[in-house]
Amino acid sequence: MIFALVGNPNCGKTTLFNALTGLRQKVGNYPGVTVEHKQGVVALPQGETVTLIDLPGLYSLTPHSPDERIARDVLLGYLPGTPRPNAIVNVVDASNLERNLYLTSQLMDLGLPILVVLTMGDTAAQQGIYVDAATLEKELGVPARAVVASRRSGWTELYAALLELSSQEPPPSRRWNLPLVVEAEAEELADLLQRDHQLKPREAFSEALLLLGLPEERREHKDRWSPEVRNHLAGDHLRLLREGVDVSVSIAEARYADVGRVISRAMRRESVSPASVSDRVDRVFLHRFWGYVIFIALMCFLFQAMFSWATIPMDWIKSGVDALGQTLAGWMPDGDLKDLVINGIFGGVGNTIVFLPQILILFFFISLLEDTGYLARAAFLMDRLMSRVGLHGKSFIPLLSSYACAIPGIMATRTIDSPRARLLTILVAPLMSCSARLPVYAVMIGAFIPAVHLAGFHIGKFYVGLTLPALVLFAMYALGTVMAFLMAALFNRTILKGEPPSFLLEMPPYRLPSLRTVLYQMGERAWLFLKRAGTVILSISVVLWFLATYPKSPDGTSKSDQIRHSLAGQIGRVIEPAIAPLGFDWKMGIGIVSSFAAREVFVSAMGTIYNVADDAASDDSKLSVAVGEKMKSDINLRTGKPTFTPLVAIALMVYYVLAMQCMSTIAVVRRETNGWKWPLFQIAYMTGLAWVVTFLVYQGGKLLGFE
Amino acid sequence: MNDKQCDPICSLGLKECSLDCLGRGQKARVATVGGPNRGRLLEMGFTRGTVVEVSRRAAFGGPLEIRLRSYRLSLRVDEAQAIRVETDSTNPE
Ligand SMILES: Nc1nc2c(ncn2[C@@H]2O[C@H](COP(=O)(O)OP(=O)(O)OP(=O)(O)O)[C@@H](O)[C@H]2O)c(=O)[nH]1
Ligand SMILES: [Mg+2]
Repeated sequence: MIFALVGNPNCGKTTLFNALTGLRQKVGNYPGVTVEHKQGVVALPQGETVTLIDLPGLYSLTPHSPDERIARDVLLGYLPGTPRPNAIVNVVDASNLERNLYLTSQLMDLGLPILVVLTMGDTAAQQGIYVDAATLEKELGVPARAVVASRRSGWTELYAALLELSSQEPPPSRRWNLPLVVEAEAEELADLLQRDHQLKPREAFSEALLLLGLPEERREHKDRWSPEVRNHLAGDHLRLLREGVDVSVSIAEARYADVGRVISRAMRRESVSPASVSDRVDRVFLHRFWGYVIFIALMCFLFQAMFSWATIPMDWIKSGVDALGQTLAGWMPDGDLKDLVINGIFGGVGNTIVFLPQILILFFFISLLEDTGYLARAAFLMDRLMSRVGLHGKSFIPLLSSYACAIPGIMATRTIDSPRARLLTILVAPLMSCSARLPVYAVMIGAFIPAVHLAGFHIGKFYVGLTLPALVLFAMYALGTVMAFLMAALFNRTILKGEPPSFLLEMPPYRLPSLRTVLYQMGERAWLFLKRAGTVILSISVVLWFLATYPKSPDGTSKSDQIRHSLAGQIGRVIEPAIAPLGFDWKMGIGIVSSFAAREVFVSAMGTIYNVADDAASDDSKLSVAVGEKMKSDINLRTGKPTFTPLVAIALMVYYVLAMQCMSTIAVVRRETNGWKWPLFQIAYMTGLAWVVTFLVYQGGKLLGFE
Repeated sequence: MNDKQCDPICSLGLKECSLDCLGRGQKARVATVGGPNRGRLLEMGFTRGTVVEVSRRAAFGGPLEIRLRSYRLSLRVDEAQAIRVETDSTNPE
């Protein structure tokens, strides 16, 4: 038995799915969190099991965006490889009953058994709205159960209803009427659909209504429906137009009239409270002036927190890793193996995991933004800017998710209905600084940007306020964001011209974030980060160690000479001419090339290379993962000046902000755009942009006398 | 673009105008819906006679927030222009 979870966006489908299956799919308080279908198994009390499919949210069975198309296709069995569900679990948000029941009305047409699950009863009650599940059941003619998934309330009844769902009768036929002409045309079309496509009578009628309700033919219809059906449909549209009947209006009105009848009985509204909490909060958070002030203040706070809160746990990790390395080095006999472990692995992996606290703080804030509902507010505030550069109102959420990682960001573009705006968003999303860049920024800023206090005050030993490192970090994120907007504006005026896309975004009520969800998301991210450190970064460190150690120079050569003649040194010097104008030397070149596996590899690569090159590293007790210190003391042999200066550090960060260096992103863009054209274009423009801007920054900085 | 000639009468609550002409907090009933998102707006509840309220307008000519059927929806000014509403004197609700 396969049941599909169907409902409006943000009505609590995934929360219910997780509670029933024990899985941990992502939930968040904004429409469009789920963009893929996911299966899970529910163990019912009597030892039976059913498969449950979580789907993206739907406003109706006529999809307007890729995520809605996935939900519709799975539900109707159009998606190859996914079996058609036997029954529907329709999740209905009690605080938004009227619009949620519109979809229910469409689902009932399909003729599959339906169970209505009412969620958000608590939110509704806060707004003075009470929905009675028993009356709703009676009025709709399908079972309805109220639950609160987080508290498992209503659970026994829900399990019992799920157990019966597979053998349940199909829902009663519709009780609403259409204008006679429409009714007649729909019957005719349904007959044709039954004949040509072997649809069951109710399915056929439902499909006929959907087809009649669409004024223009869609591309997908060509492959799906027979020429007779399509011709007939075109004729119907003409005839109805001549008679002055607007089908989409009459269908919507008829359905809403019936929904109105249901809610007049099943829903009770108590004295309307003066203004809900969300309203009062939004008077400030969406204020025409204070709204923006708060938005910017929140962002500044985030970057300051990422920098200053992280230092203490980072120091702990650093001393832990150092102590471990020193102990290991004391035990192991001298030789290549020790060198590999200490310089290669320990220098590489150890340097990366130091940044775990910053990653955790970033994800802590991102989950707060997502779970409270502020994300949708930020989208509202920023929409004017988005529309100026041709982006969709919903582009904001994918772009903001890309601060975590471009991959979920690009997936989230599935909620965008305009294909042009979606492509535009995909093209610029990787310019947003993802969490993999954070270690690169952090190591550079930590080593080369002095901790000057800019504005703030001291409380005892602690400084509260903005510091220069935090400001530089903010500037890097800002640079990526501004560039994303500029490039979007450029593409919008050149290669992707078109109508300004729309913005239809439902504003969710504010909710208190659940600590469990937040901690879980942080835990998951920490695990991913550590897993990557243990796999990709570990292997690259080992490879780099070999490249940096062999071929060996005769004994007595200094370590820094030896590494210059190693394979890595030779490769690096092939790259060097291309990056010398940017202020980078061959070591950074090696770092940049290895970053194609993952951007944070830069830090581990530097760790490995500098450890191998470090003459002093032979003293086990002084062993440390502080790659920043080693970069600081690196002297360029030709010029006799330090290889890294604050200007070089800035140039390097700018390069990392703008360059496309992520294999997984390229793979996802290829999948989402169905081809190599756009990912290749993206690599080309981003690398070009990175080179040019870094060149300007470095050469400009030199002219201004920064060295 | 958004400072177009809004009929001064519509704010007096007399006749039909487009949704974006309504002032903050003003209510009206939907008359007709147009524009590229017509079908979606209908499905989301913008049917004839539905009471809608402009609850908020973003700065710099940004989106409007509309309240209808007890939920909140943001849309851009051009979309709101394609929705005609009636502000009859028998005030809704
Ligand atoms: N107060 C309350 N909040 C709930 C309830 N169920 C879910 N939520 C919250 O509602 C928000 C949306 O939940 P999701 O499960 O992500 O909703 P969804 O339907 O999967 O959303 P999409 O995937 O975007 O379509 C989250 O913040 C949940 O924590 C409930 O019964 N009561
Ligand atoms: Mg979901």
